[in-house]
Amino acid sequence: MNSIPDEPFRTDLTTWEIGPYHGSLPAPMRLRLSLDGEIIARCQVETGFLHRGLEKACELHSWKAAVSYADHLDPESAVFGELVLCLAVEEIGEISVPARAQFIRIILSELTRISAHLAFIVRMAKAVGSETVVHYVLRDRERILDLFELLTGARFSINFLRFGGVRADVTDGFIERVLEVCEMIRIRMKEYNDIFTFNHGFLKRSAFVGILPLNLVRTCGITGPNARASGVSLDLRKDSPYLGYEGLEFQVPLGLGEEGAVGDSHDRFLLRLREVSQSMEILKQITERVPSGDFINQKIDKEYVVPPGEAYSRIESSRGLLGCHVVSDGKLRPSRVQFRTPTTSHLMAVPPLLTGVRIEDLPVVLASLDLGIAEADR
Amino acid sequence: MDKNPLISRLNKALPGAVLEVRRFGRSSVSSIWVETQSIQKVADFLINDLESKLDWLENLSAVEFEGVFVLTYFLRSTVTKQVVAVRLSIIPTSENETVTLPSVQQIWPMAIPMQQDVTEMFGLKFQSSIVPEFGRLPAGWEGFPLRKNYVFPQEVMGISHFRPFINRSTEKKSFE
Repeated sequence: MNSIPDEPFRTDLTTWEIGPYHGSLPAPMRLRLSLDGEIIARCQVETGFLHRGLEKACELHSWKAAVSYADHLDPESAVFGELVLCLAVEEIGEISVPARAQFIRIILSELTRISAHLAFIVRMAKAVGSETVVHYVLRDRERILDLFELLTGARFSINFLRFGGVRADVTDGFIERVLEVCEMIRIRMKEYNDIFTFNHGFLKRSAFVGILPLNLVRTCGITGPNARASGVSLDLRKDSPYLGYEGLEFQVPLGLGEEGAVGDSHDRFLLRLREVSQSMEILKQITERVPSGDFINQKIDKEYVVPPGEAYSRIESSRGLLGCHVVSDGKLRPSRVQFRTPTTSHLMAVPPLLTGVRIEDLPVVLASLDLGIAEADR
Repeated sequence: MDKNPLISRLNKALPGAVLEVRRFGRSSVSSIWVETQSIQKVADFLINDLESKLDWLENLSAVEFEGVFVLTYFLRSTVTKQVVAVRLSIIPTSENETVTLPSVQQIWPMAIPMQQDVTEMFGLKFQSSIVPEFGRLPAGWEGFPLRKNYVFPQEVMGISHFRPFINRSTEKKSFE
């Protein structure tokens, strides 16, 4: 009787291809992984599946329509795309913005930041399979989307900012509801911490995993919460204030590595929770000071023309530094609208960051980077 | 002598590299126009200059003005917080021609995705050793979408890209 030969023990690398649509991916993208057992030895990232030609679309439509396209830059944080474009155009045209509109813009920005960070918590919870937290956080995020609906009529893609102000004034009771939601989220944050943030299961999955070293942050030009979690103190609301952030008191949290190492996945998670607290602090201060007066100082229609010139504006979006270079040749359409998105830098860091990571940690590391593929693909 | 000390140092180190210094738009940021082929040397000087230490390429933007391409490198120092815009222009000799220019990715590694974007969208190639495999456009895409003379394809991957003109006054579709 012939004996069955032993299966040879293979020691070479195996190749996995994940995406463009997969549960472990935060958005449409393709990963080509070379695995050495369970360890990722090499990683390639392919994006572009969400490319919509936003910058070209801006050049083909009126100035007014450009705001709507900028709104689509990052569907999760629509107001930041609108804001960065409006700031650039207002600089070119030397358009003044009423104080009331500036305050409304800050309220919308901070509500959007909280909403985006709550969505981040949802993705992290999904990555580790904590369904309870997913539902709890989504339930609370709905309250912020309710506020957007109350103010703008839309829950997503609000299309609310205009050159020289905002589309409409705040509705009755809006400010009171903002404070109510802040108080509700403050209480809920304690709940999240009890059931999730310091849960030993979550700590085991996220602490010491996907450590983003300072040199990689510098090499890739990473900004926002990911950079701050690694110890880079850069927040444009403090460093180059816009909209009137200079008059507000808030702190810029930095990664401390309390439960693991500085710049690991858990540190990035904790930092965003702290940023939610700071955003609520800003909202409390701003709602007490909203001045009366106009909410826009000019009428914007399809025939609106921006005088010739160019400007580069920069803001702190929920993911990092969002820039916009706008060029006008004095015609009915923008000559050029170019966006500098934070996720472009984050994507550059994905291959070196994933190298050496165990395959089961891949969803956690990707979720902790808070990739906005829509804004990177544009 | 230039009032801006950075320009003085740059002129001293690289004579002839700086063509013009202006204000960027209405901002207080200096816009330094440099000779295209000297961009690498200028970049090398700017990152090593101890007083400015412009170590971060924040953004790279390309614009087409009447057939002339203008690249703007938005630079920032993480140490001194100084901000500068370095600019250069490229004139292609014919439409749809691919132009090659020096890369700065050895000096500012974060330039890799930005340069790739400019290459795909404008057809401006960079002399670089690292070329990312994937970009935003599908493989084999013809033309450079952000050029002003770009003509949209009528069919993409077997899917007709024809968009009927809708007359908003009558809300009637016209297929002319």
